[in-house]
Amino acid sequence: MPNWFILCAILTPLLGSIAMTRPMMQDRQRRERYIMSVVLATSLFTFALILKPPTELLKLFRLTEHLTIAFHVDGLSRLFASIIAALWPLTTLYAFDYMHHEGGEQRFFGFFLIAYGIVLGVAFSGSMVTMYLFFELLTLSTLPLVMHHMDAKARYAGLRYLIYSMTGAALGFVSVIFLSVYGSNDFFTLGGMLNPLHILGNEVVLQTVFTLGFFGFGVKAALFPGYQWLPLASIAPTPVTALLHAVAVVKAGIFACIRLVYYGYGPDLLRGSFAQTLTMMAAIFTIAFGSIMALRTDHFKRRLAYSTISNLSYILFSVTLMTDRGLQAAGLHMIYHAVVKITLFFGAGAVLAKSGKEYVSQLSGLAGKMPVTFASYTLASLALMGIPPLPGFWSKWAIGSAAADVGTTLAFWGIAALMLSALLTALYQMGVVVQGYFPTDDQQETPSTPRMSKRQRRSPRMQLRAARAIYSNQLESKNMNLTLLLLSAAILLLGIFDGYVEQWVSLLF
Amino acid sequence: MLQVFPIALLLLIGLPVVMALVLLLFKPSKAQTLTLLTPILTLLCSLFLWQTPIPAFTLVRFTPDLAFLFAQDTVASLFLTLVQLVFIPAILFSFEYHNHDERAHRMYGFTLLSLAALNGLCLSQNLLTFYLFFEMVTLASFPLVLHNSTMSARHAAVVYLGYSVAGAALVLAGFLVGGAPFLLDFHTSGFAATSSAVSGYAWLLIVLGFSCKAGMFPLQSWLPIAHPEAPAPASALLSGIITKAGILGILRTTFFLVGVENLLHSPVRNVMLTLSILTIFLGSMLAFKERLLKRRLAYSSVSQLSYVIFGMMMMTSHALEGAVLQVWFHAAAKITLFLVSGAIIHYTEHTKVSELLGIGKQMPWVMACFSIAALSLVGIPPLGGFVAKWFLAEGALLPQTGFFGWFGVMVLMISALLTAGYLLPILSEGFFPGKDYESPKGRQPGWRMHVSLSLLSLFLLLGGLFPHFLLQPLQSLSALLF
Repeated sequence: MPNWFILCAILTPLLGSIAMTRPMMQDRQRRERYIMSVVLATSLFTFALILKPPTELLKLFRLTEHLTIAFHVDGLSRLFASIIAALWPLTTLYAFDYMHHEGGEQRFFGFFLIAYGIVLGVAFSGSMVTMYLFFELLTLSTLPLVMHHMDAKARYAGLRYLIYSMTGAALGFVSVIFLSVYGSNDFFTLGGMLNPLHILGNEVVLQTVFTLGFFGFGVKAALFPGYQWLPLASIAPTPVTALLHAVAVVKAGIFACIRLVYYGYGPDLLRGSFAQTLTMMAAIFTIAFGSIMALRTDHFKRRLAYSTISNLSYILFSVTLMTDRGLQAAGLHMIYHAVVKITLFFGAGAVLAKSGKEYVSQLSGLAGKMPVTFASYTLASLALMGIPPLPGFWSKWAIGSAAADVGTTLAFWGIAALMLSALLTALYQMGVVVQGYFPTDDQQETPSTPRMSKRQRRSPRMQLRAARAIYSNQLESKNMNLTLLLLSAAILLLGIFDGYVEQWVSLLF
Repeated sequence: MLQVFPIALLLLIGLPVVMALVLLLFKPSKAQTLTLLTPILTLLCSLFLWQTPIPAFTLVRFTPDLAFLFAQDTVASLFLTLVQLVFIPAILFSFEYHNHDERAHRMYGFTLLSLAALNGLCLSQNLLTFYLFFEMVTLASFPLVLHNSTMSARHAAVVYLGYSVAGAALVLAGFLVGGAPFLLDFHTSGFAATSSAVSGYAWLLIVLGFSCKAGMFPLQSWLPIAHPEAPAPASALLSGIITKAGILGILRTTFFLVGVENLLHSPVRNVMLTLSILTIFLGSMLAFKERLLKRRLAYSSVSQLSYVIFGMMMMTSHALEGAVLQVWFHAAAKITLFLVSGAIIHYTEHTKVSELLGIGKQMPWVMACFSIAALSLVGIPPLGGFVAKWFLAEGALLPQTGFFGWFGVMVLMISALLTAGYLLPILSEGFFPGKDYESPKGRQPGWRMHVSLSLLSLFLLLGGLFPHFLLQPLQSLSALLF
C-alpha cells in the first residue's frame, strides 16, 4: 500500500459525515444504507492498511523543525486499528436499532462517523504531536455523543468528561514537549525516541515528566485518580458507552500510554525507577478499586463502566511491567477485553432499550424474555471472569506470567490484585446472570417499558407495537441479536484460536 | 486403545452435556429416564475402562506450552468410577424428592452438567485442563444451590460461588508464580527440576486454592452456608463428591506435579499439615455443637475431608491409600446421610436434630441406612470407613512421620469420638424414643428413596468387607509414587 492511503482511511468518515446534515438523510432507510457504506468502506481501507502496511512515513507538513504532522502504520497501529475497524461496523448495525428509540439520529451518526476518523487518526499517527492533536480532537468529537440526551444529567456528565479529558491532555502535553526537546526526532521508534546524549544527567526530570504524562493520558484510560468521568458517562446512549467508553476512547488512552512508555521515553530509562513504581501502583490500585466499585454498583451500565475501569488497568499494569512480554500481554488484553466488553454493553443496552430496566436488581427473570441477549451476556461474563478456553483467560494468563517473569514484589502484588479482581468479576457478573435466569419467588417482577423517543411516543402505531412486544414476551430485535450472536461467535473463536492471535500479536512488536 | 479413548471421552463428558442441554432447553416429558440413563451409560464406560492406562490425548493445543490434555491413569480411574457410582443413587433419590417440582428438569440438567465437569476433571492430564474443569464444576453446581429460589438460597449460592472462584484464583496465582514446571503433564517421575523455594510457595498457593473446595480451614465457611440451602440430593452431591474435586486437585499437584521428594522436608508441607489437623478437630467440634441436621452434616464434611488432606500430606504409601479409601467411603456415607436428611425433610419437614425423636419408628428402613452410614463415618468395623481410617492411622504412625504423625492420629481419635457424639444420639433418640412415644402416621418414603439408600449402604458394607478391589490398584499406585 502506498502511504497516502492512510489519509483515505482517515478522511472517508470525516468527509462522509458532512452529508449527514442534508435533509435527505431524514429517511431512515437511505440514511442507514449511506452510513453503513461509509463505515464499511473505511473498515476496508483500514484492513487493507493493516494487512499490507506501507513502509514509509507519510509526512504531511512541518510545524517547526521538531514538530511534524506525520502518519505511519506500525505494529501498535495495526493492533489498535484492527480492533476499531472490526468493531465499528458491528456497533453501527446495533446503533441503527438502538438509536431508533433515542431520536436525534442525524446528529448522532454524524459525530459517530467523525469519531471513527479521529480514532483512526490516533491509531495511525506517526509522531507525538500528531497523536496529541487527534487525542484532543477525539475529546471534542465525542462530547456531543456523551451529551446526546441533552438533559441536565447528560450535560453534567459531558462537562465532567470535558474537564477530565482536557486536564489529562494538558498533563500529557507537558510530556510531549519534553519528548520533542530531548528526543533525537519526533517519530515513534520502538525502544524510545529520546536522544541518549540528552538523557545523561536528566534522568530524574524525564522520569518525572513521564509520570505526569502517563497519568495525563491515563485519564482517558480511567486510571485512578482520573476515573470519575467514565461511570458518569454511562448516561450516553449504549452504542457510545459500548464502543467509545469500552473500546475506542479508553483504548486510545491506553494506546497513548503505550506510545509514551515503549516508543517515547523507552522502557530502559524507566525500568526500576520511581516512575515505574508510581504508575504500576496506580494501575494495581485501580484494578482492585474498579472491581470493588463494580460489585457495589446496582446501576447496570455503571457497573459495567467500573468493570471497564478495572480491566483497563489490567492492561496498564501490563504496560508498566516495561518488558516485551508485558507489552504483548497488554496488546492481547486490549483485543480480548474490547470484544468481551462490547458484548456485555450491547447486552445491557438491549435490556435498557427493550425493557427500560436500568438496575441489576430489576432484571429478575428477564432471561426468559430475552434469551439471546442473556445467553451472549453469560458467555461474555465467563470470558471476562477468565474461564479457559475463553479469551479472558488467555490474556490474564499472559499478563500474570509476564508479571511473574519480572518477579519484583510489586509485580506479585499485581498478580494478587488480578486474582482478587477475578473473584470480584465473578461476583458482579454472575450477579446479573443469576438475576436473569434464577428469579426468586419472593421477588416482584418490575414491568417492562420499552424506551421510546418523543416522535415514537406520539405515534399510536409505535405504541401498539411496543405493547405487543411486551405481551408476547418478544423483547429482542433482529439487528441487536445479530450483533450479539456475531460477537459471541467471535469470543468463542478468539478463545479457541488464541495461539494464532498470540502469534500475530508477538509479531507486531 | 488410542482410538477408543476419544470415543470414551465423548461419552463421559459429551453425553452428559448434551443430555443436560436437552433437559434445560427442551424440557422433555421423559426427563427422568434421560437423567438416569446418562450416569448408567457413563458408569458402564468407566467400568469398561477400569484400570486401563490410556496415553495422553490432546484435544486442543493453544500454544506450545498450553493444551487441553486428557488421559486415564489409576487415580483418574478410581475417581471416575466413584463419581458415576454415587451419581446414580443420588439422581434416583432426587426423582422422588422433586416429584412435585415443576422446575425439576432444571435441577436434573445442572446435575448432569456437574457430572460432565467432574468427569472432565478426573481425566484431565495437566493443570490447565484441570483448572478449566474445576471452574466448570463450580459453575455447573452453583445453580443447584440456587434451586429453591429464595433470597437465602441466592445468598448461599453467591457465597459458594465466591469461595470457589477465590479458590480457583489462588490456584491460578500459584500456577503463574510457579511457572514452567506447573505446565507439565501430570507425571510420576523426574521432579528434580522443580525443587526450588518458589515452586514450594506456588504449590502452597495452589493447594490452598483447591482446599477451599474441600472445605479446609480457613476457607471452610461456605460449606455450612451452601449445603443446608440446596435441595437434599444436591447437597448430598455437593458434600459427597463435588468437594472431592478439591481433593483430586491437591492429589494431582502434590504427587503428580511437584513430587514427594521436593515437599517432604519443606516448611510449606507443615503449613498444610497444621491446617488439616486443625480442621479435623474444628469441624467435628462445630458439628457437635450444631443443631440443624444438614448443617451438622456439612460441618462433619469439613472435618472428614481434612482426614483426606491429612492423609495425603503424610506422604507415606499407607496414608495415601487411606486417603483415597476415605474419599470413596466418605462420599458414599455422606451422600447417604444427606439423602436421609432429605427424606426426613420431604416427609416430615423436620430440619432440627431435636425434632427427630422417634424418627426411626416412622421410617425404619431409611434410618437403618442412616445408621450404617453413621457407623461407617465414625469408623466402626466392618464398614468402609473403618478400613480407610485404619490405613490412615497406619500410614501416619510410621517412624519417619514424626510429631505430626502421632499428633494427627490423636486428633483423628478425638474426632472419631466427636463424630460418634454428633451422629449416634440421633440414632438412639430416633429408634428409642421412650415408652410413651406414639409414632405419628406419616407418609412413607417410596421405593426410589429406599432403593437408592439401600444401594449406598450395601456399598459401604461390601466395601468394608472386601476392600481388595480398591486396595490392589491403590498399592500399584503407591508403588509408583513412593
